[in-house]
Amino acid sequence: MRERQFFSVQNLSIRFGGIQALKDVSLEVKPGSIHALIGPNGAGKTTILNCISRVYKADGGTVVFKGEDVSRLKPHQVVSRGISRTFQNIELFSNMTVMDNILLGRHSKRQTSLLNDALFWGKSQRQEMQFRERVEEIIDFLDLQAYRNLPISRIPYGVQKNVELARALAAEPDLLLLDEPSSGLNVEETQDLAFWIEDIKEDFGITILLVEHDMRLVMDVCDAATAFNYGSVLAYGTPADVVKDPEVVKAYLGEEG
Amino acid sequence: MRFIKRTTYMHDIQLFRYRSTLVWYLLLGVVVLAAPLSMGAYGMSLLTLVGIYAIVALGLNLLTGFTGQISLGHAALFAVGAYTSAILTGTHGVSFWLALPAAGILAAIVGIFIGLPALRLKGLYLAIATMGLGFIVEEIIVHWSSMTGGVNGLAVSRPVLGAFEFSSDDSFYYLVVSILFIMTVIMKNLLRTPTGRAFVAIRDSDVAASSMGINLAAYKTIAFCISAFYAGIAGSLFAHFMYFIGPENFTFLISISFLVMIVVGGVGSVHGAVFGAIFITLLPEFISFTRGYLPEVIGKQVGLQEATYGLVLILFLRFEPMGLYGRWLKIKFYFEHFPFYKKDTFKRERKFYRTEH
Ligand SMILES: Nc1ncnc2c1ncn2[C@@H]1O[C@H](COP(=O)(O)OP(=O)(O)OP(=O)(O)O)[C@@H](O)[C@H]1O
Ligand SMILES: [Mg+2]
Repeated sequence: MRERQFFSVQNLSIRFGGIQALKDVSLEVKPGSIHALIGPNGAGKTTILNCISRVYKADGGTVVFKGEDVSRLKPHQVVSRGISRTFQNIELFSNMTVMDNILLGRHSKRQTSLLNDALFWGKSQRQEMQFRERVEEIIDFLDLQAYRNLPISRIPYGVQKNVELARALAAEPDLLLLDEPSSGLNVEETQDLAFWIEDIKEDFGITILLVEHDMRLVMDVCDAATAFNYGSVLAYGTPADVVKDPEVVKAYLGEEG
Repeated sequence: MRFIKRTTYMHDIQLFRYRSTLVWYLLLGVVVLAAPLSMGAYGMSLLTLVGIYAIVALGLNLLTGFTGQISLGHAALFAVGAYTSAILTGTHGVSFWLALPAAGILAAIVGIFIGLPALRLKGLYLAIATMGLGFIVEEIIVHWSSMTGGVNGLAVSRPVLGAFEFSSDDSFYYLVVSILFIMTVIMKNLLRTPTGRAFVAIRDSDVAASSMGINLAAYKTIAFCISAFYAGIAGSLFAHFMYFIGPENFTFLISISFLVMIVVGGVGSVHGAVFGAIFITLLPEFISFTRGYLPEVIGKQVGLQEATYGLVLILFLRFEPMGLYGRWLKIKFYFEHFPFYKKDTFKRERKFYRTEH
């Protein structure tokens, strides 16, 4: 009998008009690992994440998470199964404070009814305290104390990326999807990010699937990598092996040439 | 400048974060309660209307200001509340204290239908769809005359509690103020819990909202429901206050004036609801007062009120999108930071760094 898979994508395909953005993509993520998706621009990396989180409806294929087929869920049901994500182009609630944004990350843990919230009594009050307690822990972890009560529109880009990470963590996922977490960050911020990603894996026991262009970061923190081009898998293996793969080298050189 | 040291999470959640705020509200409470002592009958009836409209504004603000869903059909929901209460108490002899919540609940149910287009439409298209549904309700009121009295309208009585009848305007004023108070607390509670945050999240980014686990369709419907409930409660109070209701109380212009109310008061602010309600109650008075002094061509125009609403909307959206409440915040900020006030503090920041790569 095969061992039960933690997370796997099988034969995922999606087409936008004339573009076959994904063609029979299969991959597996081992529990407790950090898995990178790499590939040139337009390879289909973001599209995979969007299909997993059901922002896009795939034309075919399945996504299995902890033994359940999650490829037919509604977009808002995905997070309650234990998958949360960040976006390549920051999608924060820009008129809210940092605190409120992260608090929204806990929405899937909500236990109160509308009536309970309207009265703000008992369970509703206790829940709000618990939410805040958990959010403060995340704020401490990601060094966001100074920005706690500022609206998103008044904090720098790098911090916004951090808030998005914090919001995704607040959902206490088992699998975290990160879309280019280092893009737009400076060297120092990228180093912090590398430490945080490792801590998220080690201390919180969260498995991470990330799209990343920064090969240094991929080599430093990732346990496995899958390379893509034109919506198909080119290579899978350890990051060191994947970047040496002739097909992968050709895809990147082809892009530059 | 004010710095506070938070010692419990309650600091961030409680309604009055500073003791001084609480003092101000207590003072306001005293003024509101003492108003009948210094105001004449006319002033009191205006104040009562302010209270009723403020309830509508609270609800509409939740929908438009916080959830980002526009409605041009709110006069219809106001009407559903008014007629439900009028018919239940008048024709069926039901007590006002049952008719009031019934008015809210029936309006909330109609609100679901008015909100249905919101599941597919946005912005202007939603505005047109809700406007259409508003007209349908208006037509039903006119033509279902066996129930609603048609164009002749319905007479409504004042509520009674035991042996006491709320027949004086002062007593009705206190009734409205108490209900406004309860409705405000409920709104504040919703806004500081996951329900309220979900509404604002939908307004800001629906992709992110649904990836946080917010069921967009359900929450948009709930927003319409709650908003309609507020309009229904206000409608019921309106009917019993006016003694008489007819279709002319619930026209499209009323929907527009509700929208003017939240834009003027401040979109997305609970305080703004009251500012807006004051404005919208006084504006018609002001217009009819100035009519006599204006040159005849303008003063005798039929559409003067409509035109003024339009003008006010445009001016506010152009120059003070945060409404009167926003203006108040700026003035307060100016005094708190007096020598250090920077002119650009509230300027909206432009963003150039949203890159794709
Ligand atoms: N909503 C959409 N409509 C049409 N085409 C799309 C859509 N989303 C993605 N595509 C196309 O699918 C292909 C893959 O896009 P995707 O965003 O997944 O690339 P990527 O690997 O994330 O690239 P990058 O590194 O630039 O982020 C591209 O050709 C893109 O134009
Ligand atoms: Mg991408």
